[in-house]
Amino acid sequence: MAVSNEFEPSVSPTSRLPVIGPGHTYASINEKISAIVLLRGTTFGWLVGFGIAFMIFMMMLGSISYLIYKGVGVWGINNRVGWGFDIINFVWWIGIGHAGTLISAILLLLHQKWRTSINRFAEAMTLFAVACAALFPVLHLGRPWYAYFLFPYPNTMGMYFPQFRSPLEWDVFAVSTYASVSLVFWYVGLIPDLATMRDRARNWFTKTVYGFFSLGWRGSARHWHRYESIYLLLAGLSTPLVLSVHTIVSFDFAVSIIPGWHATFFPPYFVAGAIYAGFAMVLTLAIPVRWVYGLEDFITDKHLENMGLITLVTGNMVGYAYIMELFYGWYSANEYEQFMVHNRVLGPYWALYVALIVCNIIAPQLLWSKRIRRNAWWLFAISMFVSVGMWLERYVIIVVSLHRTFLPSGWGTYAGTFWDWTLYIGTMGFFLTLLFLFIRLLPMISMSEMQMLLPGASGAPQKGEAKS
Amino acid sequence: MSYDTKPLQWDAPVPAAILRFQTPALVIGLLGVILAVVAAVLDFRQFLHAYLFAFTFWNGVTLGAMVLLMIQYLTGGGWGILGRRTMEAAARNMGLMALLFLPILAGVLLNKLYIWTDTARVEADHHLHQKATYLNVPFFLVRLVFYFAVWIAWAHFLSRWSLEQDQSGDKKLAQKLRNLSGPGLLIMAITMTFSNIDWLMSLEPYWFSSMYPLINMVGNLLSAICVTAALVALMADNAPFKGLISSKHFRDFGNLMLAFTMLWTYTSLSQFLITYSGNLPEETPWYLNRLNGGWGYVAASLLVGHFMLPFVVLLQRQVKDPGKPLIYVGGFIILMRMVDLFWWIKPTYDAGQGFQAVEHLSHFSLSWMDLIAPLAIGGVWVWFYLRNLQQRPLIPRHDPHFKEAFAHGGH
Repeated sequence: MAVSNEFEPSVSPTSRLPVIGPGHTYASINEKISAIVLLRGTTFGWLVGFGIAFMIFMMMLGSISYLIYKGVGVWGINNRVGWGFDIINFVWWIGIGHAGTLISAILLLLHQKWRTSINRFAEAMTLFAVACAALFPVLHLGRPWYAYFLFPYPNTMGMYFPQFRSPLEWDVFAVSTYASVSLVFWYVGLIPDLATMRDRARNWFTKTVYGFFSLGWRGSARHWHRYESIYLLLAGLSTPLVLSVHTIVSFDFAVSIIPGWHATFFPPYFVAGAIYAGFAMVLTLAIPVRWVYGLEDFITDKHLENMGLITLVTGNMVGYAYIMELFYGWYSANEYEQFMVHNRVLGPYWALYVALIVCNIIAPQLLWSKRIRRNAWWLFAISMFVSVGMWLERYVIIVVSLHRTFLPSGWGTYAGTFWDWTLYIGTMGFFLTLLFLFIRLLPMISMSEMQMLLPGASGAPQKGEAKS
Repeated sequence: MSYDTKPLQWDAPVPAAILRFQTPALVIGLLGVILAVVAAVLDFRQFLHAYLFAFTFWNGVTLGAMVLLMIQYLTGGGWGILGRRTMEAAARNMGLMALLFLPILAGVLLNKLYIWTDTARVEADHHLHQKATYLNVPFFLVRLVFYFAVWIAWAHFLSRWSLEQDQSGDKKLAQKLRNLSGPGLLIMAITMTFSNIDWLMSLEPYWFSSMYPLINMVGNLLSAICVTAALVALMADNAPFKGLISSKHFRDFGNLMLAFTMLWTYTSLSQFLITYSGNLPEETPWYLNRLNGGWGYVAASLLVGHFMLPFVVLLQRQVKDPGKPLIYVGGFIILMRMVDLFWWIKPTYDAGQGFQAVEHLSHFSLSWMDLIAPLAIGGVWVWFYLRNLQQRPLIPRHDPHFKEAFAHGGH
């Protein structure tokens, strides 16, 4: 296939912006990316960032300790709103993880070369976000040490599956499958790079640790062959997970008959929202990281623009859902549905609804402009709006629907308490702590895949092109 | 580089393998139209149900082709360059579809199809009365004009600028088409949703489901990609496709068919599961009418024929890569699309159309009109489609991504 050299393979067909900066070679890619871990050392800036994140993480542990000591009564949940911050945050975090899976699995199968430099990073984000997400439902159990009740095991209660008709139970399987497949996928992708790190390590200890985890990788043709097959297989396995996890999360709400929850289009609506939130988070993290570590050659404006486009598309899908929710609320001619719409827009939480519309529908419309899509500052600002907006969306769906249900005698209000907030903000510390460690200890961009973007490498097996 | 060493015959006419369908299509179409007129005279209400189902299918192919064109302008891909002209030919039938809406319009004006057009009933019924702000004839007509105006306008510009690009090779046109496609997808989503509510969901005005328009949209895309893939596969052995088209493109077509099949299943199953779990009296009749009285067998055939079979078959590389099998798989899925829409629409013919009437559930019935209507519209549609196809070169040679898409063996 000598043909392919005629055209710059690193140029994506949809635009003239390159997916890798000019002048790079195999060696320069390895050097630049591995140096962040091996040569740069522990810088002052990293220490400060890590220190702050770690302190917030400690706050989370403190909050959890008090919660377990006192019980879930320290939270704002009450008889009307039995699901509060815990479920809001669970859905928020699990949604954020979806961008990683989409980038690593679906974009791989769609031959999107621009995914290469951001996939490692986004997959790590997925894992850390799932770790944060999983905390909330477990803590919401009240007695988290009984969490194993959720799994099927032979027990004296005579039931393997505790209420298998409940989507909450399906969540257990959906999320644990998601976490394990994502972890394996991430690790398998890391193996060739871990071997590179091993080979470039300067002292015995580092060499041994990377060597251990690289599973004896030597880069032989046979190794690559096996690697390519398993990587593609895992991508195939991950693809349904992009849909399944948030679909089941949406079932948590939709299979009930609470107005505002029981809507048949909840599954795709939630999946679109998850991808939307996820890409916003990738942008929020990738933009500062690329600036701090000078990675503009690898995470180019092309990447930012494409992520901006996906944010725009999924944002409009979410916008469609918001508009249709209002329409169907009215069209149902059901007084409870109509009241839900009224209460959502004009009830006591109206300000949150307005903020939600501004953050999630109005702000991303700026992305129609090419100038804004290619401007890191704008993208960063918009991604912040979206992250806030997606949290508000879950708040509005969960709290507003629950606080005034069918009987006015059962109405009440809800607000997060100090412990709700410390736990929520604490998980951000947990997330950032893991992220700082990841940046410090592992190559955050896949070196082996970046090398395949080089012009000379077009004869080399291209991931996802070998088979599909 | 295959397209340089063997220069493409850009102006190659539409292969005879395709054109031989044109005259039979016209004959079937005209015979169908005559029989449809007879049907309308014999039993207008029965005819309208058959006609609405046939119209929904063919209109879906037309709309689906437009959406696919716009998706392709925004995301690229060799499959769309190969299928561009067939999709355009379908999209250019939009004006024809507006004309073919007339019988349904007559059904609305003569109060034969939808119960909400019956003013006396609406006055007496609290539920319908509440919905009358939206479901009333004048507003229905305004929306109808809006949908077709938007669709015809978008089809017109998609078609015109593509033709101009072909003639002048002006690089700016590609950007213009992209600028048309972005907002176009948004407006298609909205118009397809509300037209679905107006024309199909309001058949049972007590019922609503927010997933329903989405299933319809996914179904339209599936119908359109099947028609496109089958047609491209039929022409693959002739100039200008020969030498240009490779197994990679067919695999892309096959994968798109697979993806939309899975999406149809995902949306359909979600709607069922959520309705089933909620078990609300205003929602379940929709399924009760479609799972009892013989309709359960049709539902089962959808599970097997609209999901299981195409899913298993389209996973196979042996089916996708050679291209030819896609003709049969595509044809089969198109048939199942019709069964799906029939299952949606026909039960409303004899069902109680709402929760007051659960006691008289729909019973399966198949009238000769149900078979004639899709053939009548289909024959006319296909004739115009093939006529449209002959008016332009089959390959858009000035597409700016042409070289990139076909140089690497393309994808």
